[in-house]
Amino acid sequence: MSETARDRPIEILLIEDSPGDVRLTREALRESKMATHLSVVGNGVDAMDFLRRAGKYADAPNVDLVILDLNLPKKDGRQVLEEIKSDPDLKEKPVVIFTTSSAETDIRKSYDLHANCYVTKPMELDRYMQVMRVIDEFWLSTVQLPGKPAPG
Amino acid sequence: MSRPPRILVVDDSATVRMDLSEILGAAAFDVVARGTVREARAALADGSIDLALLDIILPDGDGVELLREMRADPRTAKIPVMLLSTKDDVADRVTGLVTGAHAYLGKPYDPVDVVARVRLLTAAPLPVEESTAEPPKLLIVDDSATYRLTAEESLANEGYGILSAASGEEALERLATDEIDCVLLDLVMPGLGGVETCRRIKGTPAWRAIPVVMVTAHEDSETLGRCLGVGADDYVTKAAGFEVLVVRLRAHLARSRLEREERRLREQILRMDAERKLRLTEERARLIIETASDAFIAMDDKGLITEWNPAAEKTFGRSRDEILGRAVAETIMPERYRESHRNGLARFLETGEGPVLGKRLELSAIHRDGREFPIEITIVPLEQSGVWSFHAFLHDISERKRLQAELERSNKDLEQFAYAASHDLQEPLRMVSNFVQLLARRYSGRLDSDADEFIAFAIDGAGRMKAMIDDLLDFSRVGRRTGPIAPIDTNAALGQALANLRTAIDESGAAVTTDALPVVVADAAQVTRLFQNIIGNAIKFRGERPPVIRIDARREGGFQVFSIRDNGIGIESENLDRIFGLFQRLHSREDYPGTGIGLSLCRRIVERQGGRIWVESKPGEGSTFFFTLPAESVEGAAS
Repeated sequence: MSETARDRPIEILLIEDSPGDVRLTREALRESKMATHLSVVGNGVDAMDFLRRAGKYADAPNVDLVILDLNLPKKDGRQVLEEIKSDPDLKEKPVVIFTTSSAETDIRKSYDLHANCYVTKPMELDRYMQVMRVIDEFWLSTVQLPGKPAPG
Repeated sequence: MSRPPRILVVDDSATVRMDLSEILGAAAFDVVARGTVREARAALADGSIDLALLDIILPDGDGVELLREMRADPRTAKIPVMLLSTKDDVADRVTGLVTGAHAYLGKPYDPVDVVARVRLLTAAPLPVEESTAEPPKLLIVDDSATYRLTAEESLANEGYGILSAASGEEALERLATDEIDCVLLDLVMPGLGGVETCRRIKGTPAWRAIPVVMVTAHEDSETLGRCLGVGADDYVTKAAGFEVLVVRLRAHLARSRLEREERRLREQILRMDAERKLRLTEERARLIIETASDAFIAMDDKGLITEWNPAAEKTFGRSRDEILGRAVAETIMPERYRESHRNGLARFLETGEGPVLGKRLELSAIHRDGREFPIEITIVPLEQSGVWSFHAFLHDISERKRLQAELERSNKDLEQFAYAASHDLQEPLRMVSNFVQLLARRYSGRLDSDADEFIAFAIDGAGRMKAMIDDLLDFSRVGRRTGPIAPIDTNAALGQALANLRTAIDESGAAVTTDALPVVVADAAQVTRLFQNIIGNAIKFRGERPPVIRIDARREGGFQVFSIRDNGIGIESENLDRIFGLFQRLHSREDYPGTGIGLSLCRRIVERQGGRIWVESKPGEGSTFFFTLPAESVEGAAS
């Protein structure tokens, strides 16, 4: 399976409005062993357009994994999650919630909305790297789900 | 008498004059002091004297003489007179009293007694000569009609009222019906003899003070002994003749009159004293109520207001005159309380049950302007001759309530602020922290050594700031989030704390000992935290020796007082309070790491549960931390 995964880079959409976090994520992925391609949108409205390849995102790549911050301008991350999970075309896409909020209500609500993973943004860079590895592994296990056509 | 009674003191001793002037002056009498009979006469002449205190022996005459003069003069005849003498002699008294003195004062005198007697005599002057209005009554008891007649004739000139009885039995009957001042009792009579009659008279409390003079045929020591043995006051032989009898009787009557007078005085003084005390008590109670800063309200068993002090006038905006006699329920009580008030009153009067009585309550009341305000009130029921009344002290607690609410709000704001601030601070800090670490990761050893050092400082600073923010969040969470407040086993909480500290305990070789600890009512997680922080400190601030830590608890009122004693480095006394402050540190971070939040967190935990925390310490010997937590109530333990 990992043979297949290496055929093309894993297409990741990061929905994040903080440039610092975007950069950290990018740096962390750079150190990842996996071949990844990262696209970034800064708000919930653009995120939905990107995923649906609507408007200016008509040529957007097919996203394999979504990394979603909960606190977003325009359209809140919680709403983005809800829309992804209620859209028949998108609901299979794995969504990792990546946020500063460690509030129990946010965590519970995210899982209620079928988020695949909930990660609190770490303070330590090492942990950041670890989290990225977890996401890598998570993706690998996700693509093995039955009924899911292997990418490529 | 609008002006104070004027007292004439006549004594040749200047010291006595000064002393009495002082004593009586202090008791608000107007005192005129004189040293001679001549001066005294002059003082009496203007008719303003209300009472005279006369020394018996004076340089130019004597007090008894002056008294006699006063009694002879209609202008001074009714002035009460007290005689003063150093000679505590009955003869003086008798002379004085026979002459018409009201009281006799022996020197040295008791100032209190002087004032009491003077007050008594001036406030209620005695009839000048009680005995002149009603002559002394003499009861002659003899079976011989001849003797009775002779005696009556012989004593007639003395001005006595004379009653006679032919037997002991008859004598007792007369005593029961008439006020007798002296009994002349024949020794030998048929029926109840003289001795037995005397015994009965002296055995009856009401008659015991009446002098009994036995009249005997013979003067032998055996007869005498028998008479005196049953309480006779004196005896005369018939042979001695009436002249002797007259003198004896005079003496006895004078003495009994004196004794009666003294008794009466003493009773009157006692009564006055009791009245005065009662008046004082009432006066004091009235004064307390009048000047109390609390409103005082009394209510009768019908719910009507009977007392209303000035503070109540101020508190409710209603005058005493307008409120007295009106129902509490309809004037100062909010409508919603009225029914339970009436029911409560009825129930109390019927069953004696008053669950709210005698307790400090927080209620609301209505001001005259219709405004409702919170009050704190204690109501006490009082029964007087079968009738209940209710007394209440209360005060307006609006200000306290307002401050309480303000404090709560400000505390809440502060918590929210601490939470928000620390929460929001996390974001930028995360950026700083992560990028500095990224810098280290990518460029460490590739720039110069200064750069490496700067980066290391930045990483360390960010790390400490993170620790403080985490602590601050923890701190604000103690107020924001509490687990269930319930009875918990502190042994379990301590066990958990020790488990959390396992590494530190093992590494330091600490010995932690305790006996069974009590149950407290608190949040279990927070109590664990409390133990953990204090014991953690005891280990951290250890001296050269391995830590020895002892945990005890004892009950004190509604609280359990815990103590955690260590043998660590201790704390200087000037720092004892400081250590509980937020981020307060007594040592350098190099010596003892930490943010300095531990004990302030402990204080916050304890205070949230209504307890206290403090420390006693000797530098170099160790510290003992104390904290209190609510004990399990007795009822709680039983259920």
